[in-house]
Parts: sequence; C-alpha cells; structure tokens
Amino acid sequence: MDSLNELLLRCGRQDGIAFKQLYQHTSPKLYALCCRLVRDEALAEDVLQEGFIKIWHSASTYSTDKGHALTWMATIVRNQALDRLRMAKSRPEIHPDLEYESLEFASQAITPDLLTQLSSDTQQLLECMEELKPEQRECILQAFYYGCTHEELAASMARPLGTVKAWIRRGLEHLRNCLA
Amino acid sequence: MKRYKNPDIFEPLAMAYALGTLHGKARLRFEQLMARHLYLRATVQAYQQKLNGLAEILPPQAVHARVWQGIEQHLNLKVAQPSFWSRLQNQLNWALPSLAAIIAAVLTAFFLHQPPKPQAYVAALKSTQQHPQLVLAMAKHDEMKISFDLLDQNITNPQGMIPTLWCISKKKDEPPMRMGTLEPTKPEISINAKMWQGLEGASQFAISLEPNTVSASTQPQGEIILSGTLHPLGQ
Repeated sequence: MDSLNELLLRCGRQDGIAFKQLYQHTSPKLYALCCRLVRDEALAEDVLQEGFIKIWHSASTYSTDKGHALTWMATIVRNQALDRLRMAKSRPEIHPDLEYESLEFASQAITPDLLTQLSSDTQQLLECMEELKPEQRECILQAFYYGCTHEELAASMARPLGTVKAWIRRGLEHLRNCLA
Repeated sequence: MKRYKNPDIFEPLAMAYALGTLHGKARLRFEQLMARHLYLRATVQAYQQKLNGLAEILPPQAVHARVWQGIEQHLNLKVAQPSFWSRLQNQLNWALPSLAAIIAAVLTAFFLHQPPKPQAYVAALKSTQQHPQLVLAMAKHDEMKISFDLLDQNITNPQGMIPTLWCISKKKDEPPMRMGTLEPTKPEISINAKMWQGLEGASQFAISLEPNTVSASTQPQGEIILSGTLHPLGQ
C-alpha cells in the first residue's frame, strides 16, 4: 500500500505521529494549491490549516477505494479554498511578486520518473488532458489551479464569454468520455 | 428536476461543479439537488477525486512552521517523541515499504482481523438503450433487501415481459446471479444471506426483460435494458 495512504488510514485511528508525518509529506503541494487559488500567502496558510483540521476529523471516513490519499486531501483543501473565495466580497488581487498565473509546471513534459510517482488515476487524467485542444486544456487548468471564473478567463484570454464557456464545456465532455 | 435525471445533463454539471466553474444560481440549485440526491453527491465526489489528481503535479512550496503549530494547538495534539519501536517501524515504513506492506498484509489477513464488510451497496443503473433513463438501486444488509428509486419514471416493459435484476460477478467465468423481479407496485426485492454474500464479489447490477412464460432461469434470456457499477458503502 502507498505510504501516504497508510499514514492517512492511521490518522483515522487518531494517530498523531502519522498525522504529523502526513502533514510533512503533503503540505508543500497542498500549500502550493492554496496559494494559487486564494492568491495570498497569509490566507493560503489559514486555508491550509483549516483544511488539515478537517482532514484530521474526516480521516476515519477515508478508505483506499476512495482514491489516493493526496487526491482525497486535495479535495478537502480545495473545497476549503473555494468556500473562502466565495465568502469574500471581492477576489484578492494578484500580488506582483508572485507568479502564480503560470501553467508552466503543467505544460512541461511529464518525465518517466515523475510519472511513476503519480497515482494511476492521475496518470490517466494527464493522458486525457493531453488529448484536449490547447485552449480547452488551458481553461480547465486555469479553473482548477486558480479558481478562475468564466468571466475572468474570458478577460485574461481576451475572448468572448460564450467562446470560453464552450471551450470548457467541450473540454469537460471530452474528459468525461476519456475517463469513463 | 426532470432534466437532472438524465446522465447527459447531470454528469457535465457534476464535472463543472467539481472543477469549480458552476457559478451563481446554477451552483446553488445544483447544491440543493445534491443535498437531496445521493447519486448527484456520488457523481460529484467521483469527479472531484479524478480532477484533484492535478494537485499531484504541482511544484511543492515551503510552508511556514506556524501553520503546523496552529494545527497542533487547535487539535490539542500531543505528538510525543516516538518510542524506539515506533522509530524502527517508521524507518521500515519509509526505507522498506515493500517489506512493511507484506508484513502488514500478512498480519492483517491472518492474525489481526478481517477487513470490515460493507453494510450497503449502491448502483446507478443507466439505460443501455437510446432513451436516457436512470434507476438507483441500494442493497442494505440491515434490511436484507434491495430498494429501487425509479426517479418518477417507469421501466418500460412490453406486455408479457418482466424486469429482472441480475448481479454480475467480477469473475468473468462466473454466471450472473438472479436476484429477483421488479414489481411496478413494490420497488424492492428481498434477498437472502447467499445473495448478500454474492454482492461481495459482484461488479455490476443489470436489469433484463424476461418473458413471464418461462420459469425463472439462471441466465438472462432477454435483453439487458439497464446496468451500472456496484459500489460498496459503509466499510
């Protein structure tokens, strides 16, 4: 069994040592996700903290048939970040020193070494993402990593709102068929 | 509500919800429906699990120590210095994961306990025909019956044909198990202990239309009209 899955299962049995190890191994990636979504490091820290508190309380409901531990945890943390964004009256502005808008990390070719470290579900997802048209892929990745709304995507890509909505809809349709 | 019963409508909405692109009133409406319908929650969760794998490829970013301190304080966690045996176990976990997995599997299987068994199974049976239809089936151990939610639709069965539920095994060489017939007035089927055990090794539920002139057969004779993957719950 994957080590992270095992640690998360131990957290479900209220094992504090396992929780700390799980935090040490997963928080850097989950924090990177929070920073991109909320675009503010202090708020990202708050969201990460709240997310891990929820993870501790919900860990007893995790089982390996619910997917890889990091994916399960990312669902909790991402929902926490999206809830915070919806509660805020306005979306935080992008800090000039933070280059969170780039999708370079997702565009680079996935090396065989990295591929073997990914869960099988994620490998399949990446293969399906590769089949999307570039504009569909970019919209979906921007929405996932940065929580961009249709309007924000239309503005940043200088395209009509309807076009962006259609790209996302067709991209998701393709993913739906590919992941089925 | 009717449009949300069509998988071609609700699955894209569930994906958009999971991705975060469903906004405003559409999002609120979908959340209200999710609160009422298990199949919508299950579909959203399934897509969240799939899409959130994208977090795996993010470059890691250093986190300030105050975040863990805040978590520790909030949860009142006292993470004691691990004992020699704990440290040894952790070394084994990280340095020799395969050995640890083998030991854990052997111990779990033979010495500790059997894994908890599911208390229920659920399946969303989609139409195999051109017209969209969805039927939800839930088998519960405490009631020893399979209940169906036809979502205000009827299963169209030509005269003389009876909708019959089958349990399809994960093993391809095993024949399907006949679970019973669906009566229009009573959307449930009682099951016995053998049938419940059969669900453990099952991958799918399927409904076929069987001629009512034939005595109950052990294999589907008629056309399969609905099928769906069986998911264990409450493990």
